Amino acid sequence: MKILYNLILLLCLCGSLTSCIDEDAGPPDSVEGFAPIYLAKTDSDTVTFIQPQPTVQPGKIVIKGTLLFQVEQYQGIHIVDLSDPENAKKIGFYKIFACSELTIHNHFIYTNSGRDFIVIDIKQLDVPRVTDYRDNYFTAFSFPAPPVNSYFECPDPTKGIIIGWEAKTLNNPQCKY
Amino acid sequence: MKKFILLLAFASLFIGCDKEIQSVGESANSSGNGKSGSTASMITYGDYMYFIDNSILRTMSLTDPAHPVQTSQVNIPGIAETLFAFEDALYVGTRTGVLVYDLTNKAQPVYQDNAFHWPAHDPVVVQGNYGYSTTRWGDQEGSGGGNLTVLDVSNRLNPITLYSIPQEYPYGLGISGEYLYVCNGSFGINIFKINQFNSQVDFVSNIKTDAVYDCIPSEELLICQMSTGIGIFNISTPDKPVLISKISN
Repeated sequence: MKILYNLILLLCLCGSLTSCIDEDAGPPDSVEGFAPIYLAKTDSDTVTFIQPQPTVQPGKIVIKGTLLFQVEQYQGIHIVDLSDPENAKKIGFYKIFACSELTIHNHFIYTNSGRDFIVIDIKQLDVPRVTDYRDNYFTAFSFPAPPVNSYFECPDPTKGIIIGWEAKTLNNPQCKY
Repeated sequence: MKKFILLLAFASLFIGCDKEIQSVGESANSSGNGKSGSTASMITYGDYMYFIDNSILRTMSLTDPAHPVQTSQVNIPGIAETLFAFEDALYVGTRTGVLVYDLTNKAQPVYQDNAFHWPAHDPVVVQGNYGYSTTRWGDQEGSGGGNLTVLDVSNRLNPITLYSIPQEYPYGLGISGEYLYVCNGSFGINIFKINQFNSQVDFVSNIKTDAVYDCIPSEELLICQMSTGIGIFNISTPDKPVLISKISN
């Protein structure tokens, strides 16, 4: 019985080694891996002020005076009025495609739309005015990497930006992390 | 007639909204920089803006805030995640340590390689002669852990690690006067009192909150980013924060 057990162990070990060798030989025909979840670009380079939105993926916060601004990952920026702290409330939302970073100086918001850099004048809060827009300014903005040691479907930039990864059976995947 | 009244009511509703936005907008129009949390990777300091772009630290002049001009671009050794500026020093939190840049010339941060031995990483806040940084390890709160590390930054450009205090699973931290608020995810906030005469920080209490990731003190308020929304605490009694409102997700 013990011999059988050892034999099984040995077989398993061989199996795991074989898979390493396979890897060097090239990508497998079919393997469990990950595919990008894309957010397609719908609007063109605009920042619009809309009614308060639900918070789904809260991001970084910045406080300016009695206002609080919070990134909604990849969707825009929440605006919260703190002037009456016991009744703090959302008063609006800047819709910005693929926004993930934020800082403020005077009445200007510095943020990003994917790899584009944007400056927004918010002197009149509900009428945001884009004063500067630089395409592909950032080399890479922290979009999520696929899980480590995994095969993944190579990203297709024409489909939009990557906001996450989902498990998928991949055929002959060309990308590995 | 009914229709007209309805229309008027609607119109006044809109005027009401507009007025409200304009009045709260005043605070956005004040000069100065926004206050970022300790986990920020894009900050403003003086008339400059600093941000981490992959492995590059970029500096932009905000002399004309509507049209920033890049003044410097330097490569960062390591994967950078957070920025904190204090008294002409810029602290860059990376996965392998905190790097220090001299901001004597705010337009051109200069790397101080003699400070490379700072072993803590990630969010850092500085006040007076001391810096406070958190490190966490492990993939999740249950099996992970972390430290709050206290540093001597009396020489701004050459911080010295003094000691560490174990934490449950620390994320961001905020400092307000003599108190330090360390966010520990679902373990809540650990409050420490800073000794004014030496490097000592004393644990005061733990307050249970919804999972909490970063807190920004703003005068008598502590504004916290929680899994369930934004929590606003009154810290007029600094060792006993009171949740006064919450903006739910």
